[in-house]
Amino acid sequence: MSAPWDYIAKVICLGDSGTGKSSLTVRLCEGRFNKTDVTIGVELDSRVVDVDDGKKIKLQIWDTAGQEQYRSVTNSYIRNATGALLVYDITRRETLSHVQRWLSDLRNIGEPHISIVLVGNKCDLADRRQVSTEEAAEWAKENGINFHVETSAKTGESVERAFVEVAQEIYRNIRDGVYDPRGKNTGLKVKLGTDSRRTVHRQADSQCCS
Amino acid sequence: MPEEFTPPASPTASFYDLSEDDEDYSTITHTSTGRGVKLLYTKSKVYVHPTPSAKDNIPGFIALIQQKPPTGETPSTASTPVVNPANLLLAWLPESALGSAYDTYVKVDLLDTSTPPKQTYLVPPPPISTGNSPLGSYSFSVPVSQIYSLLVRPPSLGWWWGSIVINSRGGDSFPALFFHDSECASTIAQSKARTKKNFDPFDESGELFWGGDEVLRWLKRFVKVERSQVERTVYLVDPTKDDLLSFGQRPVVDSTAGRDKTVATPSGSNDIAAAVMDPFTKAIKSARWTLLEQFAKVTQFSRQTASNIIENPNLPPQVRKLLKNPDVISLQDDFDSARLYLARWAMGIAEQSEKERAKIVWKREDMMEMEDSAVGEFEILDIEAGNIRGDSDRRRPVDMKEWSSWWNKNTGRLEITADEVKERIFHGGCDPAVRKEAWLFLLEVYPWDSTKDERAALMNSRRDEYVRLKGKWWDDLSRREGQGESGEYWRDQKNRIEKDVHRTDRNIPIFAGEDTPHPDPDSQYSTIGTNVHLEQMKDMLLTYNEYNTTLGYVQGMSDLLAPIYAVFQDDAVAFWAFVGFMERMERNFLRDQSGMRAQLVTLDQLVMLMDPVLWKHLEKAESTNFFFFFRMILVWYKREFEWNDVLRLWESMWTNYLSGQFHLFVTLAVLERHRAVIMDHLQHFDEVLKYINELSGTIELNSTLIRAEALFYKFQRTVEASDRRHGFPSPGTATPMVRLTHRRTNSSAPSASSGNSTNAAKGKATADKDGPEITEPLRGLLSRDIIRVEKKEPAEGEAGKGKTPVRE
Repeated sequence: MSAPWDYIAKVICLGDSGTGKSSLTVRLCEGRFNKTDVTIGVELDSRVVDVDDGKKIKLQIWDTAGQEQYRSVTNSYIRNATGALLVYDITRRETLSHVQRWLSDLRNIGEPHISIVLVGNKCDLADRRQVSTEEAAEWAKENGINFHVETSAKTGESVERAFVEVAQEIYRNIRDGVYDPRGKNTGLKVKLGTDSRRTVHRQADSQCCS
Repeated sequence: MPEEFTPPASPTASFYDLSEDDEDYSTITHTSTGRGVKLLYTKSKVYVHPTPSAKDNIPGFIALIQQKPPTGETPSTASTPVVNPANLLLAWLPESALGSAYDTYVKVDLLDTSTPPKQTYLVPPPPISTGNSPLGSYSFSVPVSQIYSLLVRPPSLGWWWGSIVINSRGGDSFPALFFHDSECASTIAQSKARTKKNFDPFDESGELFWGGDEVLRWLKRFVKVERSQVERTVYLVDPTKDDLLSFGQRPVVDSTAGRDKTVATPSGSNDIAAAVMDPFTKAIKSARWTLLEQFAKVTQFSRQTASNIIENPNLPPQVRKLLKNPDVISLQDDFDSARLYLARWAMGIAEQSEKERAKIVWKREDMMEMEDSAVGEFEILDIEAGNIRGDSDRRRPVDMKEWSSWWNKNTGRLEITADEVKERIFHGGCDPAVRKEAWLFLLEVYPWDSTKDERAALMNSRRDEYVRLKGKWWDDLSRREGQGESGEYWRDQKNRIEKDVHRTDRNIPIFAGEDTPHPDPDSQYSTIGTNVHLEQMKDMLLTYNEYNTTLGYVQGMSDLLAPIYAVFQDDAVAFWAFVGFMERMERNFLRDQSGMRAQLVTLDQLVMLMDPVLWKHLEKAESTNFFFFFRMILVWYKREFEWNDVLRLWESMWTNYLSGQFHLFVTLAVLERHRAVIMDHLQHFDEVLKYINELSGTIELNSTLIRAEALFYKFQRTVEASDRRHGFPSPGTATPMVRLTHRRTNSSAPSASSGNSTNAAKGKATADKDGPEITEPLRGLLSRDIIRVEKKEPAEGEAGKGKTPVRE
């Protein structure tokens, strides 16, 4: 029996509390919409997604607590993420402006080649929209984020697409040799041969807090 | 001691036909019959548990009785008796069946049993049975010569009462006899005498003394009793060479064992063991966790085999239930490796067993199944837990009647010490009705030494104060509507609180409903609706946000408030109880995470001290930041246990009975419980984190509390041993109430070879040749003080005096 994936990549979900990080994770990994408890610390889940060349990447999703108070905790999980979802709530303008903070943390602490997608969640609540699609897309472009998508964890709309986009970019980076095989902190595992796998390069998941 | 004896005669009717032997017996003749048998030894308060309900337990006496030898044998007159074991009866008789002989039994029970009684006590002959007793009567007696083996289970973790099951040579088993040591006058006396003599309640082999030891000692005076080398709970009585051989040759299941080995069963006995030895149960019984491959074997069986296993009538019910659970299959997808999945599954079974153990009284089969099972046992702690098992009274919840009895009827002042109350709540918890009162003391809303009137006055002023605090934000329009930072911050907090309240414990009935129209049309929930309790929760948290302005509302607090509010269902009372709780929890929520870090560092040192081998493994797995316990520590296991267990756990920890930081011992208990899985299967931080996160809802509370308590005592001993080695006296931080009542000579401090040298530089607990050094944070665990955030002078007369500041 061979492992059903070629790579495992660590992807972190960041964003204000209540933007739907846990709901997105649950939607992706379990295919359902559930009211989730307040996230305390970090939750882990995973899902295998298809990328180019018939390859499969297992996304290991690190779902974090959103409140500013827990930023130092969350930062300690950023360190060796290969990808990140920056999540805001289209019905609350301030959640987009706060994304800036998470982004700067990613740039400061995270991997240099981390794949980032900007996710505007709750697009099912269009009547309460405070952030337009264009505005957010513009914001993403200005901040060097290649991809922006609006999702609804409730209806499932585009959720998979958001994660697949991260996975695709990670795969392209792998294929193009962007990741330094001698580098550390890439949060990436590569399957070697049948039914065995090796941690290519990984490092401590950081000390507690920073 | 064992003597030669003639082959035993079959029990015949002649056993009933006894006459007194005037020549040898200086007798106290039994009054009613004038005929009797010699009562050599007996022990009181040995129970049969015929049903799961404790009220059906039948108290009785286990007794060793000598009957007159059949004609033709010469009775022994020697002081070291040579008695044909066929003439000795091991009997159990219910107290109710003894009639006027009761007094004689009591008297013999209380004799010093180091030698058989000089005086002869005669009692009526017990009914003989070598098979199962007829329905309705559990009494039995069996000639010692007919006893094949005894299954001896000393008191241990989760087993309050030690027990003995007698298996006859005919293949029958008698009901399990449970030794209620704490009620048995002779056992108490003997145990005390030992402790006095050796200052050591343990016997030579390091095991705790209990009533069953005495029974073995009686028998050893007359017959050979051999402990099986393979089944350590089995004692063979006068075994033949063949018996010994078959027990000795019984295959030990080892980690390389792949095929289904046949268990060599001694002929005519132990059919119980043989019967349940299907491959699955055998896997459970396997000695160590390294045998998890066994589980893999089981699951690789064909579907047919699997259903055969399920249909096996000997399968313990809890295992069958789990096997049939479709979740078991779907769980597999969550894990990268089947091995981890299996380990997790097995732990699930073990936890389930512990949960159900509380509900049922075990039949012999179940006992066999659980014997020596590595699943569910943290064996090092077995003896420890035996020490603290206490009697069931101690672990019975405090009910209203007991609670009320502690208070003066007129003044409402406590008439026993607060420590006594705390001890009871620590071990037993509270009945739901008691919580409304008791929690206010535990959470320091009421002083323990207050009167009824003082409390009423206090509560009145607290209610006023709550209204005042609530008014501060309620009436403040500038915050509600105003521009600027403070308005924005406040509305931000309000939204967050409301959002969190609407996703906290909604499965609990009082928080479930959404049928009340929302009072605020601007709220994000205006279209959904709310209920009065959610609104109260929101108000209390907003008021706390006002009360503690430096901290404000932080996520996680709603989890801490919900159980308190649910118990009181009165916002002002719940608010002040919550404030009391937050006194000790505040450091968990500090923005710089210094409080959480301090606890995780302490935990790191605690694990290093208590279990260096596991610590080494965690270090390799890059997990010594102990981040995977973040959630457990932050909200005190709120997410790990079911609602009622949370209430029970919190009230225990609120007592500070053993330590102001007992929650770290609970963490250690959880960790130790899963030690084997972690060591065998988890190699990386993410694996450990996922595994620990997913323990939620699976942890059995009672055994966890017992383990945590045992670990505390072990920790305390380790500290004292270290202090002795380092030649300074116990520090004053040790609590006066906690004394070393259970001393063990082979107290195990971690060995110097535990390889901690790398951490010396980090100032962690280090092991040198003098043993481990006890760091300041570790020593703090012996204190009953809670750790508060330094922000103001501690209020006078409060328990916070001498508190330890949060260490950076």
